[in-house]
Amino acid sequence: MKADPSIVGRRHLVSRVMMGLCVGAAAISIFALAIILWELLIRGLSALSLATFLESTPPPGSKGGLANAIVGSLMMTGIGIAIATPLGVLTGSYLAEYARKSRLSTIIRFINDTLLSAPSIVIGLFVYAVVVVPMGHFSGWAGGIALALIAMPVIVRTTEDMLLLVPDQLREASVALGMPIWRAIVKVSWRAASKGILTGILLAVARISGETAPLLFTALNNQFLTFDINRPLPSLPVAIFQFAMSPYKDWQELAWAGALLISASVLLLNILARTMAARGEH
Amino acid sequence: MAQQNGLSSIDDTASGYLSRKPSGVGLEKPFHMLTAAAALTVVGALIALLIILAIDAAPAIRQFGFSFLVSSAWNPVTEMFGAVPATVGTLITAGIAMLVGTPIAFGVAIFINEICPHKLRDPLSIAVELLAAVPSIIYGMWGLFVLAPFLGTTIYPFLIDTIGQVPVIGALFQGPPYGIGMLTAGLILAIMVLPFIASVSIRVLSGVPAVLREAAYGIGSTPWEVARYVLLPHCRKGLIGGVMLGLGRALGETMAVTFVIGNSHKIAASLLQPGTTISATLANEFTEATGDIYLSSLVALGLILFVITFIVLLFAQMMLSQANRKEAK
Amino acid sequence: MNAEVTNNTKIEVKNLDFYYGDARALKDVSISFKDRMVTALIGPSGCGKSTLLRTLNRICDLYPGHRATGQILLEGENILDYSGDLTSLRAKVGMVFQKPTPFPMSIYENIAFPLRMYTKLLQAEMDEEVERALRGAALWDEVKDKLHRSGLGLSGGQQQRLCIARAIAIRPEVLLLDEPASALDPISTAQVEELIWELRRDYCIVIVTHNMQQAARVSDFVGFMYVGELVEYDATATMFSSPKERRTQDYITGRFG
Repeated sequence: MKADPSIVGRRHLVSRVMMGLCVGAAAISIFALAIILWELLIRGLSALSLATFLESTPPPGSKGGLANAIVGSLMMTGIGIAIATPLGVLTGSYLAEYARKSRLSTIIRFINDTLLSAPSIVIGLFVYAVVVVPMGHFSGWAGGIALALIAMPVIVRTTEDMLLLVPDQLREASVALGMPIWRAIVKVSWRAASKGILTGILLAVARISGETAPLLFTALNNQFLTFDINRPLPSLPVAIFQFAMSPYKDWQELAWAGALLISASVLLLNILARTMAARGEH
Repeated sequence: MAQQNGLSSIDDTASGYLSRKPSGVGLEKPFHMLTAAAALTVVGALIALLIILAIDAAPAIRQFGFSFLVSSAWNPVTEMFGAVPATVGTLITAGIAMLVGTPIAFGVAIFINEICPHKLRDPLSIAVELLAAVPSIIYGMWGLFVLAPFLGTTIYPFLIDTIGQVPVIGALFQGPPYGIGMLTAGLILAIMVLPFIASVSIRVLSGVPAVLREAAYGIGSTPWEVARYVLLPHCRKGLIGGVMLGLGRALGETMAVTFVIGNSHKIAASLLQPGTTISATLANEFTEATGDIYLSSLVALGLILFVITFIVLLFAQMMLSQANRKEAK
Repeated sequence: MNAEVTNNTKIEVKNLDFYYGDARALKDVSISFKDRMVTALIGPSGCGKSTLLRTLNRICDLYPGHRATGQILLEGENILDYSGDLTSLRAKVGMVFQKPTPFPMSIYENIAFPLRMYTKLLQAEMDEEVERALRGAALWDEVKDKLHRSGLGLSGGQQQRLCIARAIAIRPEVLLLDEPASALDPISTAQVEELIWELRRDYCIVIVTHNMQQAARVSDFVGFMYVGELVEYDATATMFSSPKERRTQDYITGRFG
């Protein structure tokens, strides 16, 4: 066919311009994200010291650390995961093993995906109403439960996905040996999918360890180091929020140190989960 | 005789096994019930959430009725509350985020899938996914300490002097350049949802069958034509689903916004002025709110936020499940 | 006779080697494809027949580490040296794949899209060209009433003919068919084979197939390939009645592959 050179030329020009814009988009994003991480690293490292891990959050105008916030975060993340893991794994198993194509499972899956992306601050409102108000005070329990509600859908989702990857022949083979179905699930499916399920749990830990909004009106905050889950508990994200918004230089620096700690642990957890998932495939 | 013996001994063992019930048969039903119960807690959590929010929002709804949705009052002293400022702020900031973030995210996805050297493809996709996992509070903090001062001292004065002078649309870019405000919050949200939308898009685009790309190049298409007319339309539903998930995040995001929005319940025409969103209002005021009507009004805001995001997520999931079904075919 | 055959040559492949990274997939292949003839490439899976086809419009360039050396002369010009515009090469060498690949647009647009890339046509001219291409692919009567519906709604056989129509819409000089009927039912296969025989009047056609009967039915010449080499090349009738090579004979009588 006789090609019209002007059309062909224009097409190539358009293509080059548009693909150039795509390269530009990639460059802008890499640049933006690089300066965010750079700023975080520089300001965070310069504020980070041994005291950050050993001392509690200070009153304005004095030096201190984030020890109480770190402890609080660990405790509430622990509670959150401890509640979410059994619920999540069992729900995922129900979806993948018992109710694979039923209408009910479609609804549960949809609701789970909705919870997965629901605004986390609304979860905070909910837990405030069902835990904080009846107890009469803010507490680590309330914070942990709020985090559990955020972690659970992550674990449900990955557990189901990973169990669906287990070949059906494996299930059939175990049941054909006379194994009860529940044992086949526990001994065969769970074992075969164990790395994937663990990956999901790690991702859930990563997800909730950076969550701030649901803790604001559940765990609240606490200036002192405490191991009492019944009392209001400090957490790293809430401490960062409080300190970053403050006008005090010392507090702002601690906020950067905390931000670096959180980002580093979230990224490490993600990388760990990813390598685990990659190993699980082999 | 020997044969008979052999047979009988086989019979013995067989009956030996058969007479013994496989262990744990009795737990079959309880375990099934246990998993079903866990699954029902997921459903129960969502239903309970809706009911509780509705109950707690009831006093405000009774007090203000429909006018809560159309009133722009927000006065804790006179106890007059309306949802308009926060809802409008939520929609505008999320809208800016989508307007800015989506095309850039698609550009990144096309770059990674079509342009960049194959060796960089996996590391870059992983980097994008890692960035999507960075907690939103980090973005908010960076916005407060770095982006807002930068915009307030350089970009915004320039915008005010140029576009701000243009009739009609100029109204969006007027007033003192505080640095914090709706536009800054929208931009922070854009940076936050960008890796998220990009990582979904990368995954969707990489699922395009190789032959379709080859066929598109095979008739002599340019790389842009392949992307624009074949790859993107082929993945339309998956991409829309990803964008909608991103929108859901932007609407519900608290920390990336609260730092830089300015928390003002006055609706300003200019995007450069402080405003508020539902989530920022909740984060700033909930623990300090006094009086039942005030608290209840805040919960009612939360309910509105949940309903909006619920609709967006419903749409997102419909799109994604249709896209998956198509892929499975 | 000999002179006429050479004049007729559309593509001349000389000493072609092809590498997927370090793996050598084609070994010193030399073959010519004649205009207005159908040449079939046969051989067991992995013998390199598809690879050879995919070098002819350099679609293999889409992947890194894929490398061809030697010469592929399209009307005397070496396409492996083609440094500039691959899109115009690919417009000259149309390709149809094993699985139907309709683009995500209407039937009409599937044809009009490539046309618009090369010429400016009035609406009426475009309609005419679309009809011509669809008639050329023996699809017109089946789709003329639903031109603006999605191409994805057609049956597998119709989709494949739509792809052939799309390939011939821009009047290429060469048509490459990569197992075009292997994903189709017998009736659609017969329609596609009939179509190939029709198109033979206008194009140089190269078809890869693993189906010997199909090769015998549709082709004028056959090349038998085995582990990256062209073992034997001859007129179809000669090849299937009296192959010279032992390996060819074993393959076409079904002893392996």
